[in-house]
Amino acid sequence: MDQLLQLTINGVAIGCVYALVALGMILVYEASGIVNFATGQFVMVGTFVAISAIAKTGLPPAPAYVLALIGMALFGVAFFLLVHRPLQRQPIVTIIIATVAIGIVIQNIGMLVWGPLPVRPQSPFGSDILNVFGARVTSHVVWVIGVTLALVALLYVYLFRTPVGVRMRAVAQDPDASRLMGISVTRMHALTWIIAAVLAGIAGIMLGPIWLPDVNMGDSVALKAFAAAIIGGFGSVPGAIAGGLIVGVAEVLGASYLSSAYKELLVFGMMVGFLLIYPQGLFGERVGDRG
Amino acid sequence: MNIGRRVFVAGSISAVAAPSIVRAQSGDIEIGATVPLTGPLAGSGQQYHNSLQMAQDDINTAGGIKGRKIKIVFEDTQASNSIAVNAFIKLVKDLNPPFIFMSSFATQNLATEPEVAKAKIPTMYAGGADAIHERKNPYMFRLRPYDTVTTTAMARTVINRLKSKKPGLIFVQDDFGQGSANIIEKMFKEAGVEVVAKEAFGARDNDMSAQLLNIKKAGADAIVGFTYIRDGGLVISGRRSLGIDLPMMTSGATTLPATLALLDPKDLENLHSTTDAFLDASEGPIVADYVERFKKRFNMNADPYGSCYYDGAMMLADAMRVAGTDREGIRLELAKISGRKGVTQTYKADANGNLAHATTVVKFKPGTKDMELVDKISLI
Repeated sequence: MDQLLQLTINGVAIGCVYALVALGMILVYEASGIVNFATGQFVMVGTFVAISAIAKTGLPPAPAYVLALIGMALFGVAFFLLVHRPLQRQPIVTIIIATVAIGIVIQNIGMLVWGPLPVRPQSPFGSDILNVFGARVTSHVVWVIGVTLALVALLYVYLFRTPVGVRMRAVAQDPDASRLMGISVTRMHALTWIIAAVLAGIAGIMLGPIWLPDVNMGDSVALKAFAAAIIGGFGSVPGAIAGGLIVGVAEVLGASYLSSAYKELLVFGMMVGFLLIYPQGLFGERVGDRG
Repeated sequence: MNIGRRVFVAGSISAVAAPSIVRAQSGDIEIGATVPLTGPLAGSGQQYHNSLQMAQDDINTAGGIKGRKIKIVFEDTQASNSIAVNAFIKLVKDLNPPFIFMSSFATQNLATEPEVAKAKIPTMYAGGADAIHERKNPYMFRLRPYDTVTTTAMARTVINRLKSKKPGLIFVQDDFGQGSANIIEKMFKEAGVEVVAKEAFGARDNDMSAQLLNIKKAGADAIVGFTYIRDGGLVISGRRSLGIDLPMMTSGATTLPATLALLDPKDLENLHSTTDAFLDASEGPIVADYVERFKKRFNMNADPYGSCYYDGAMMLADAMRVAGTDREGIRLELAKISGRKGVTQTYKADANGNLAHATTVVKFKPGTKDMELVDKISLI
């Protein structure tokens, strides 16, 4: 029983990270129609910028990580200007190929800048071992769950209770009508990329102490976040969270109670199953309902 | 003057070929090296690359080979067997070298072995899997102890020092991990020790908590791990964060600077590890000089995965001083190596092309990442 609880808490923590990455992915998709296949590399940049922020400034982890998130916001702006704008009127296949290629470029730049070795980033929450109802887990893992809940709540308030959030949702629903209403669609798109990059940065900071990442970490994260978004319903905020948690817990429990060799099969089997049987996902709209 | 077509073609070929023939005879001697320079295996590839660069400069400073300098040409194997094979073929086609250093990963070397046999070019490599020397390829010489050496040291330590009766195994799912786990399981069985759990993981897995908890659940009294750098970090730190207080014995990658950088001193409590060599200044002036120069030049600590390639290059230089660039001559010289002292260890060629037959067992001083010597084990 202790083992089940221990594994479930670890799975939920990893699932929270997948959920944040999936949220960034669907925000961009909803706002601009771009499926960003470089999302995993965003997370990698977030992790390594955070490590560099500590190493280069000598600041303690908390302020250094805030600095890193400001850096990620600037990265989001750069991505908007250099990738989103040239791609926004291109066919979907071009966009997919371009974001995959850009992901590879970012990964290789990461290799040049940070080298090939894995790292152990400092946890902003410490590395004490806690006893939670008999299960031993690190304080970092507990904080990851707490921070994700807080971020999701903040995002909800931002999107549904602030004027800027309402404008962002309006642009996501109908850019032309929004433009006629005087909303700056360009500014809203830029803001979406900033939020996606910052979410990826936070995911990277939280994932680092758990995964001991190297610059090749991006693809693993992106694939799981993609599976989470599909299971939850592509385009749905609650779906991204539910999908992330399902993927994280299934991965950990599958490795323990089935076989570690089949844990990926379990996750991606679920994804394929949803695509075949229930393509709108748990919280997604059916295509017919969108009209 | 009437020049016939055949004369014209022959003349043209001579004109094109002449510079390369001249270069091959009197210019630098080009040696090939296939190295994982990018991708997930690049951590140890970087050590290998740096060690060979240092060896190249040391050989050239000492006068080169019969007055000619050597130049090591690197090709990236990434983390892929097919790319490793293509890198080897490219070196053969582009350089036609007298010798090639091969990857430090067993799976890549197993995949490339047929090409080595075809090309008949002597090579040195560092992957530990016994499956490589079982191919009996006379052109392949191994610079690191083969897995039987390492697993013998690990089995002896687990039985005699950790006093384990019910060990659990955790290993990376590839030729190295699976092969070593099978070898040590057989050794334990012969010693009357029962393996109570065998847990595998993928080299790029990010969480081994399920496997570690399964070992604990099976009632193991010790954990034996066969891992690389990042996965080793995850397994060892996972043992502590999951509160598993079992003693642990690990394969050599744990002692690499890159792995130790991922670990907290608390993670290393109650842990023994093999290592190819105890690269410490206390081991003598040759080791002291190497580690100091390496650190100064590359701003990183030397490790035995890289230093064995430095030793390999020095042994190659000796062979070429006798045999020149004749491949068969180099192969025969390498096969004669006996009692050759290097930075990493003393080398002796056996009938299978294995040059290294000894390994070291270390443990960590409490509260630190400093190693202390526990045992030295040699199979010859």
